[in-house]
Amino acid sequence: LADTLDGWQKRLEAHFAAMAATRRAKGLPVFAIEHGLDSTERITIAKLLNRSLGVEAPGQYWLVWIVYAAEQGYDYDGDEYWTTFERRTPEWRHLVDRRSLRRWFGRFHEKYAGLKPTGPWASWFSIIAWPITHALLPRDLQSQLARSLYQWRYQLAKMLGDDPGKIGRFLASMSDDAPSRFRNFLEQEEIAGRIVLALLGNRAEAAEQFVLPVTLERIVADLQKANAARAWLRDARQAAERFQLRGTSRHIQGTTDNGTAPRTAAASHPYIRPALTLRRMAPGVWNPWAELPTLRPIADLSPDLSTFLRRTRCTVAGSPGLLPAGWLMLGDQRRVLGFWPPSDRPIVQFSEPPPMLEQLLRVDGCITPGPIWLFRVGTDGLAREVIGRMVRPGQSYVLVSETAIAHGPGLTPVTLMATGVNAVGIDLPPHLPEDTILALRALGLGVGQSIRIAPAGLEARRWDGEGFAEWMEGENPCLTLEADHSIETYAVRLDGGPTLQVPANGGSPIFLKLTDLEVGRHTFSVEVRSQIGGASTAATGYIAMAIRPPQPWIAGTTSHSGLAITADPPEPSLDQFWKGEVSVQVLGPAHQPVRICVELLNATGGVLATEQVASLPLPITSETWSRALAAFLKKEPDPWAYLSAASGRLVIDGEASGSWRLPLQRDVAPVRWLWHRGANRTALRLVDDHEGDEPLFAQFFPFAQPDIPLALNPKELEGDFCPNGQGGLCIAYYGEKSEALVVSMPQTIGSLSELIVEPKIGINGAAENPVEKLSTMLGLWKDAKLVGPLVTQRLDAVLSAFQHSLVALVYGSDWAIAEARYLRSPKAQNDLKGLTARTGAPPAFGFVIARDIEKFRSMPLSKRIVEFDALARRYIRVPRDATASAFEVCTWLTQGRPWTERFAVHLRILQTAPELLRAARVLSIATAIAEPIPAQVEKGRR
Amino acid sequence: MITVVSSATVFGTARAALHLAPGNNADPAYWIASLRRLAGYHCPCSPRTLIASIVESHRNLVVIDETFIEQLEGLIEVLVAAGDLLELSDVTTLDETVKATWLFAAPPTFVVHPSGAAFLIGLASDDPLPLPAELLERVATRRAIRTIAPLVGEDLPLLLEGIGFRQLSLESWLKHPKKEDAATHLGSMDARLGHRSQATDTTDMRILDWTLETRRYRDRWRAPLRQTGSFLLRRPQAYGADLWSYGRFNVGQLEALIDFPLPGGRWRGCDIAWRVQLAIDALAGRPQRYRKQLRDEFAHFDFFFPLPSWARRRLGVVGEELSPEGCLMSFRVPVSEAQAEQAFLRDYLYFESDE
Repeated sequence: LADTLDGWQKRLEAHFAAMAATRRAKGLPVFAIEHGLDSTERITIAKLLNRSLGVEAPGQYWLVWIVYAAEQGYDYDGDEYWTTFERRTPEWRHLVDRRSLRRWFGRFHEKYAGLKPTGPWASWFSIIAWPITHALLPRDLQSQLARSLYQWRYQLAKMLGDDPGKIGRFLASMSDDAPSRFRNFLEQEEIAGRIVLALLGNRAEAAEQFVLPVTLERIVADLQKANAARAWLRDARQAAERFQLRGTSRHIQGTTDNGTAPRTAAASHPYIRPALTLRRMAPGVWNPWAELPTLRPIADLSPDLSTFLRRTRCTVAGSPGLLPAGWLMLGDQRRVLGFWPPSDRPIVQFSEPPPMLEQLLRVDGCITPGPIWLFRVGTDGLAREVIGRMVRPGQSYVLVSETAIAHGPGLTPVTLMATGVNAVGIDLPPHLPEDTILALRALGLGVGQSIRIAPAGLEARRWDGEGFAEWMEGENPCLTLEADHSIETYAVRLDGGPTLQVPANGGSPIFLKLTDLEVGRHTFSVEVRSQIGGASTAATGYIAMAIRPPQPWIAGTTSHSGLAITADPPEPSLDQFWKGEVSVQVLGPAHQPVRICVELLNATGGVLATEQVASLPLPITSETWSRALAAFLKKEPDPWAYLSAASGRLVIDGEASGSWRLPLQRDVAPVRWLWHRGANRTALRLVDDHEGDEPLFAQFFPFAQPDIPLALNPKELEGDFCPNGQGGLCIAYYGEKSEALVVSMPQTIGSLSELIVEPKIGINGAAENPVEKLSTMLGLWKDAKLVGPLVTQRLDAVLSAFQHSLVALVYGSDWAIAEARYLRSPKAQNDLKGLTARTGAPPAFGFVIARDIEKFRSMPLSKRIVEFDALARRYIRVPRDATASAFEVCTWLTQGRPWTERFAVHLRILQTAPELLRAARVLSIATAIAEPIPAQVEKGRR
Repeated sequence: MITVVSSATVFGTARAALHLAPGNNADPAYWIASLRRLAGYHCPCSPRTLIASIVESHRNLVVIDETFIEQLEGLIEVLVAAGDLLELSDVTTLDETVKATWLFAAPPTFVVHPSGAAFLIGLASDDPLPLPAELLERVATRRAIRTIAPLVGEDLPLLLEGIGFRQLSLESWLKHPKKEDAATHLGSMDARLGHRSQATDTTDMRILDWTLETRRYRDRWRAPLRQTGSFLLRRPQAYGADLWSYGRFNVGQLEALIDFPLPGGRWRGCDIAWRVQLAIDALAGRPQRYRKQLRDEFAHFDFFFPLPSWARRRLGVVGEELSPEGCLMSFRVPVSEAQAEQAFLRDYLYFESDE
């Protein structure tokens, strides 16, 4: 039987039936890859299936086929799934309907508890989603998953007791810049979470119940074939083991936690407190800046917060201007303050933040409450804030106050380069006279007998010199204790723990070591009592400590490197980049050259092509970037890689100063156009992975007749297709979905005139709903992807032709001619008068419009409508709401917005007032000259 | 848990956190690891911020004096020469309107040595060498140089790139200025000086007084008094480290001034300044000298004047840098390479040998 498909079918039926019985009881799914076959057996069934094609009905061996299909999913190299499948199964394409596979997997789902793929990707790719999902962790994703496990090992270690879905969601939220195949995989959150649990060796029994041990062994063995992946997995497992060991030991010691995760001290309270620092600019002159901790710890709390922080701009109180989205996700930031920020509001402000973020910022995101702020001057020329406002003899300080500071002994006026506050310098002698102590106390400062607690040996992060320090998980901080007066014993205490009495060391410092500190916040306090002149006095001191997990290093980020980079929008798509809609700004060492490239990636993250955008000296402003990008886009980079790319990456490389990568995402549509480079020619190819029940149609609109479709046969497009002549718009659609591409064909040119296209629009007033039709066609051309030489210029010619026809339909043919003449003219006052004369309104109305054009130009649109309406009513009959409608029609047409029924209503209203419509158009055209050109217009192709 | 401990335990605890060999003292490896750790979260900053931070947490553990500060400054130089720290000039990063010279932490990078081993350069915020443990165990450390050798059949560059490290070519890493004799080099600097407008404010300035007869580099720095001629000088700036400059003095009065680095240049201010000083000394008939000794099939070079980072890197790649003893910098190179390196030091930096 082992040599017949019938035998294999029966063996697999028995195998999966047994598995399904166990898994169903636990509510867990079965995967086709859990077939339990070794490599020889897998080769055998592949041979048998190939031989059976055309000989036996494939449906008889459906279970063998889905095992085979899942194996192709496990193995495939990130090219198109069907390409790999059909290369290994040459006769399949001719003899079996791809949809059979979906049916068989559906049967597997019903009969053997096979997992049914869900999520947006699974609904788009309704067939290949099955075998790929049933491959559990395909080979090409293994390295990526190992990298993610390593990168997020500390966070994941703490989540091992959590619901698998939560783990999957966490990884998905942290993988925005991962290759598209990996992001698709993470859409199956529950499954991804379970695989993570299984790979990290946690809860071995649970892992066994979820994945067949032999399958898990195979995946781990494959994963460990790559050195880096093996090393990543090992570290991730060790982090998980260490965390579990610690959790266990605490549990044994009788702590109150529930055994699922170690207790953390206020662990959910990320550290985001801003710090103020002054920098000496010149003798007696100080410049304040705010040091703002990264908000990444907040983003780690939930995917929603992460998304919000990545996509929302912020402002910093005290500093002008909006900062780019994701600014505080790049790392800690600093900002010079032009005016002193208020202490009752968070220094970092977002528009409409989620309640949790708002709460966290309100509690921890404000500067220290005033009205005074004390800064200790360090030897490095920086003055750092002393939260406790305690001064010590022999030190220098800067005191900042909301109110005027009276002059006193030891105080010198200083200049603070921020408005809203006053400042003085304080230089204290080694021994303080009584009147100085009194004067300092009168200023609101603590002085006199005190205890000093400071880190010893291993430096603390964010140490402010007096009251706050941060260490990383696993570090054992050491502290030094000193008193500036004679004492006998220190009483020291950590959080609410027992008090330890430490005898003083005869005036020498005492060293303490703190061990087993959990992640979160802690307070270390010291109290001493002493007798001075028969009176008992007490002095206390404390430091607040934060213990946090290490932040993983992520390659390609700019934190601490010599480049400071911002991008807008923060998460652009590849197509937005290709249309010139991405703005980038790079700060760094002046004149240092940086190389900017765009990398086009396949679905597994492999590089299809690298195109150099520019090599520019720093700093790169948004203007220099716009010019460089526009020049790059004019060069017509390789269309093959652009169309084939599943995603991209903008790489800014400053050599030793570091490099930075901006992911350029793209949703790969089930139906898509590829540019295929053959031996002798280049051609288009249509990839159809939708395979739903809705039929696929394809059309071609040539540049010369951009509204006249030629029907194409989608089946034939799966081979090579060369559009005729100069090219045009290729569109494939099914149901509500469409995929459009404007392709400008490379040609051997006989004369320059052949470079130019002269589109002729066929739709005219005689057609049914002509305006709607033209508007829809315009939208199709406008939103399509672009490839090929001269495509921008040719597309612009088509868009202009559509615009002209629309103007003719809405305003009349004579008006369209007059408008075109005006647009070609120098647009002087006489040209404008000539145009207003064509509105059909009384000459006086036209005269006033031409005369007051500057006034109208300066008005916001709402006011312009009111003023224009009042003016029009003096000369012509204006139906109700007609003025607002006329302006809305103008905006729709100028901006090429999509057609809606609303515009049909506007046009009906305006049928009786054509002169009003035209007069509004005059303002629209004329004001367009003076209005600032939208940034995007200059940035690229459009 | 709180425990009272000795200063030796404080060092031992810190060494464990810095992944150093067990011990209860502070050796150069301890200070180098501490500086790297501090750079991870202080950078971009001035070198003084790193030093102040170390001083703060070691006040009761070591003697804080000028020698200690000098040692730390020297080790920061070592880290810059090794490529872990970058000194970048004219940087706009704090704010669009503020330019400064600052130390940056170099991103994790590697350079492949002709032997096949890779120099590991740079650091991450919370991790001075962000490698998985399996690779970390293979890293060899010699002063500030960290290297990893490939296993048999291993494609080390591919592996390191897969982890996210960037590869920098050896050629790019060792790039040095063009060859110029001392007179031409100084002549071009003086020509630049001639075109500058007069500057007079010498507040807080220090000059490298080449008229003093001393071998100790540090002792040559002093406030300008009544000197006449061209001198290197350092002057404070609003943000970041003190500026390196070159100025012409007339009886202690500053007549003309240029700041280093020169606009558009890729070399650090101090690297340019030291080469200028070496040219001045050579033309004054008192070229800087190094000590050369042959020991154990190696030529040992001891320097008493700082080498620009490009020269330091070269000697470190051809041979290796050693802990200096009774000098400022020390290297050893295989005897077979000694002659070529001596020629390099003569042609590019105008050094003479004590031989």
